[in-house]
Amino acid sequence: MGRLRVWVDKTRCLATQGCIQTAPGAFALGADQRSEVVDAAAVPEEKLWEAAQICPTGAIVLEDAETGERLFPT
Amino acid sequence: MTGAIRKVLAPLAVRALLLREWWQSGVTYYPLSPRVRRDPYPHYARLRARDPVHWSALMNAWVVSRYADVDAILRDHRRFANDPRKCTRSRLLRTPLEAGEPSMLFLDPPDHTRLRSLVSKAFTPQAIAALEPRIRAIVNELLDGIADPAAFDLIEVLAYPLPVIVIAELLGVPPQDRAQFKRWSDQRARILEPVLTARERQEAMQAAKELDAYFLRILDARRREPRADLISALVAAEEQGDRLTQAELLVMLRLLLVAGNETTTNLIGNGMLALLRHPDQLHLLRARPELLPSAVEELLRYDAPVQIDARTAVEDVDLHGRHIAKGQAVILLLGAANRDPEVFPHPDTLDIIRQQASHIAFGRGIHHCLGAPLARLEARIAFEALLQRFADLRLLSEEPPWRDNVVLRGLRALPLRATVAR
Repeated sequence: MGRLRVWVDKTRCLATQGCIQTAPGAFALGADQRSEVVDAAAVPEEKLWEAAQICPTGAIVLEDAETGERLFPT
Repeated sequence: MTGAIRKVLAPLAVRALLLREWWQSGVTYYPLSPRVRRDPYPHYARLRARDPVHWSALMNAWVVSRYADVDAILRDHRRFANDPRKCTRSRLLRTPLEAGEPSMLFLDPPDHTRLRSLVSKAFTPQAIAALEPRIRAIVNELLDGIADPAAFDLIEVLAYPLPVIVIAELLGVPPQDRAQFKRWSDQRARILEPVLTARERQEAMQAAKELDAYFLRILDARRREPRADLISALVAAEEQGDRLTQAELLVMLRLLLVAGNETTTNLIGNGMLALLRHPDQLHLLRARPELLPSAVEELLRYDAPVQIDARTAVEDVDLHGRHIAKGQAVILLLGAANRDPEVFPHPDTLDIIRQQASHIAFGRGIHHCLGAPLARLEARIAFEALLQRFADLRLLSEEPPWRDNVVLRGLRALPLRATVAR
């Protein structure tokens, strides 16, 4: 695991599944029909960035794992 | 049956079916009635309260109106599909198939996934945000073109041309051709409606042919000399081989050119009408322009440009004691979900600082509107420019005319009188 922490804000997730297509293995659709992180290490970090950027509601949150600083969406 | 007899019998048949509908469920839903078209919201409220999964014998389809149900069905593409060919028990959803190859709007995974992934990067919020200065310049140019602020049609001068010019520039086609785009858009948009006349079907097919011929010329030019536009990017994807066929490319371009036009026009038109009918909210927005993004969301909720979406059940599903069978059509009333009091307190009140759950104007799930960030941005800049430029805006007609659509709700014209701000 790199220095990127990723999580899904389920209140914002619309299940467009762009993240799941961009970073398969890292994200999956939960039983609640909302995306969730299953294994962030399954893809390179740039794929996590791409997944976060493709989300129309900014539901995928990227943080610095050490400082807790929010990196995306800002 | 001869035409004259049909003219007499058809309305009687409709009434008989509606009477049976009322007898069975205590409520009816007939979207083609002019009263429902003008103001569908009281009808939606009755459906939500009395029969949330309502059988319409007339449309041969289930009608779903509560927020939670519409939300859940849109998220569940495994049980509720978009491809009308899966709708084996009703002809209702088949109009898109009557007028050419279906676009990704009417496809399911894996084809939908592959096609959408080719264009999704061009429509991310970040990519669209970069267009802001250019959109502002177009809006100002269009507003400069108002000959007489004392009497102008907002649809004609701004709400219609804005999305066409923006999408033309994004695709990389000459915005001067926009008179043609309007005709093609109007004719193609009809296929979203539940009922097509023979003439509308013929016009939609003809428009598809003309669009294909138009785009083939541009594709040729981009193959010889690529540019930094979306068409060149799609040509590159096609040339890579297995990702996109030429037929799919043409269908995609048709969709991109026309999909966002009438809808964005309606967002600006319906939104401005709602603000003008609620002077307190208009006043608040003038005083606090930082509320514009939240106002756009509320206007989308309050009078959504797309009122109806539809799916086909691909397996049997039980919902609120009703049995939705495999192959049956399910009509999703987005406009009803957006006024559900379970989710939005005082749902019929326009409140631009509302902080509740998100509306369903752009759908949900894998078909969530690709152009949503662009529509939001265009609407925000349009409202912002109108409020900055005009110190006073008034309706010239208390009841501006609605288009006679069921799915795409919007005004034919919005005549306004404005006083230029000094």
